[in-house]
Amino acid sequence: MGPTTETRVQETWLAVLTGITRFEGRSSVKTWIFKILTNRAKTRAIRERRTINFSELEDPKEPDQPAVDPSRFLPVAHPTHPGHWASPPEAWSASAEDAVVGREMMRVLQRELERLPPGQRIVVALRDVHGWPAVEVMRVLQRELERLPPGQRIVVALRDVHGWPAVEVCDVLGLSEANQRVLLHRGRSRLRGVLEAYFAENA
Amino acid sequence: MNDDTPREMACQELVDVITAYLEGTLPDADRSRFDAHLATCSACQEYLEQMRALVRLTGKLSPRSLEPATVDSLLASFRRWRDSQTRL
Repeated sequence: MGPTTETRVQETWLAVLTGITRFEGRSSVKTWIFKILTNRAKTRAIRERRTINFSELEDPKEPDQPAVDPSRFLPVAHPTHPGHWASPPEAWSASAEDAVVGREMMRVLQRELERLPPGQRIVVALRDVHGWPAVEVMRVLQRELERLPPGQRIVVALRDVHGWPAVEVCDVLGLSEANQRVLLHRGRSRLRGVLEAYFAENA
Repeated sequence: MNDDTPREMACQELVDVITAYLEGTLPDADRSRFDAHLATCSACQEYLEQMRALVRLTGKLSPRSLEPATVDSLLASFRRWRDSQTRL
C-alpha cells in the first residue's frame, strides 16, 4: 500500500471521527462511511486537478453502446420480424448457474484446503482449484468488472457485488434513479456479452 | 391492426429495457408488452435468464473494496488516533 492510500485512509478516519457527533443514524454506518470516502475523493480530485472525471458518475452520456450488437437483429424494415433476433443468444444460463453452485462448493473446498499441510495444499490448489471452470468464470467476470468505465463499475459493484439497494446507491453517489439504472444497464449488458463470448469459446 | 393495439415489443427493444424490467421500474404498458413478447420468444427467455444468472454470479464475487491490507491500515490508523487521545 503506497503512501497515498495511507494518507487517504488517515483522512477518512479523521473525517469519520470528527464527524461522529454529526452522525444522526439516518443512514447505516456503512453508507455514511462510504459517503465520506467519496466526498474525500472528490475534494482530493478537485484539489489535485486530477483527470478523474467525477461527472462521469453523474452523467452517463459516454459513447452510447447498445446492450447487444445491432447486427444481431433483423432490420426494422424487415417484413415479418422487424427487430427480432437474427443471431439469438446461445443457451448458457444453466452453465452460469452451475458456476454459482460451484462457487459455493469452492468456499467449502477452500476451507478444507486450509487444513492441509502446506506442501499438499499448494499442489492441490494449483492442480485442481485453478483449473476449475467455476473459478475461471469468476476470474473472467472479476477482470471484466474492473475494465468497465468508472461509473458503470462502481454501480455494478455496489448493486450486484455488495448487494446494495438502488436507493442507497443513488444516495451515496448522488445519482438520479434514472442515471443509476442507465449505468447498471450498460455495465450488466457488457458483462453479459463477455460471458456469452466466454461460454461460446469454452462450451 | 387498429391504432389502439399496442405495438408488439421486438427483441431489440426488449434487451434495451431489460434492466428497467428487472428493477420493476418499467411502466405498466411496457411491462405488459415485455411479458407478452417473452411468452412467445424462447431466445428472449434465454436472454432474461442470462441476465439473472449474471447478477447471481456477480453476487458471488468477493467484495474487493476493503482488501485485508486496507482493513489493516484502517485499524492501524484508528489505533494511532485512539492512542493519541488517551495520551492527552
